[in-house]
Amino acid sequence: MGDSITDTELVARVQRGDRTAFDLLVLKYQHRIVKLVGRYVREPADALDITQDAFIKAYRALPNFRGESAFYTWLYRIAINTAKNHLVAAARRPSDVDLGSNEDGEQFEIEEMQATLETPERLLLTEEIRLTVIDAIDKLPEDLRTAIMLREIDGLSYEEIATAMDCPIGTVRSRIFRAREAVDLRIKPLLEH
Amino acid sequence: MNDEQLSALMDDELAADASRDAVTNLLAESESRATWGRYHLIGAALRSAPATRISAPNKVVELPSPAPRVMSRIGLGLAAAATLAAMALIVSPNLPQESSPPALAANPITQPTTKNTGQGSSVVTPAPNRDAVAFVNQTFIVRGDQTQQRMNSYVRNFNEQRARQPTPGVHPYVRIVGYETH
Repeated sequence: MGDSITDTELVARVQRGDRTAFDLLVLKYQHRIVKLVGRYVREPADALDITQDAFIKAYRALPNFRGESAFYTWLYRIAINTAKNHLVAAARRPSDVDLGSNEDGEQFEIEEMQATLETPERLLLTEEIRLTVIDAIDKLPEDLRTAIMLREIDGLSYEEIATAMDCPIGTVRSRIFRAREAVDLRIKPLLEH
Repeated sequence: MNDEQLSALMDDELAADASRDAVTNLLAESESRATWGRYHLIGAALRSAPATRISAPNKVVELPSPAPRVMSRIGLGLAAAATLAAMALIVSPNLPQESSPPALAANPITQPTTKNTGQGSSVVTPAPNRDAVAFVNQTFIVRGDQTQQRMNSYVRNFNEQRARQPTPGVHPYVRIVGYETH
């Protein structure tokens, strides 16, 4: 199955030993995975724990990832299985998380990763951030708002947005960037404290 | 790397070579990585927001792909409407002929009558209307003070719920208010 060029490139870098590339994948997909896992567990804290477990499992399994499916499809399956295992384990004995059952070196690497993984809670979606983003989007000029919404909500490509808005692709790229930049200016201070 | 390139990279809108270079730069610059995280956060916030909480664009945007399907649905709808109209003409012999006077002229509108029954109540008899068969033989009783009480209770509950509701713009308390029939 086809994967995004960016994901393929990032996965290749992780497979060559670049852990920072994995951090970028985490930053990209953590929100979707938290949302997905949230369908299985009620407690937000559990969802965050399971998400972190899923990413650690993915990191450990990435050397064997052959790219036969899209990275997100593969990660999705890992997250679902992790959530289901969590439910089974919780039914038997609560908080049974089996991390790093392999060699000491790998265990150390996993622990280090848990400590430094670029998934700080400040980058997770809070109600304050959500409302700030919505407010910032509402205040954008119409052409920027339309472009960013067609991209983020409807998932259209730049070419499709250009057709829909009757403008060149370069203009779409610029509008989407300017929309993100404007919203970023509003949320950045919230994430810094 | 500049942030516009980063924005295009996260949308997968750079060519393969440019993507590779951009990823290399991204991995080398911590500030760009932080921006990457925030831009994805913005996308997640937008996708998690209920559609009604974001102002829809004022301009109607014509989406490129599903047009033929929509047109075929509209075509089917029109065909079905035409068929129904044709059937109605064939099956309804009692429809007034063009030469006959209009129904409204034959049955002039009459006002509903209201009779005071004392004790704060009134009886409203709906205007006779042949088309409104369901209403002809019914009497609607509106008890003035009772309606007022129900309205007050509604407003009280609404305000209580609204005080608890963190989300503005969402109706916190909905109750059906209608006439009682006897």
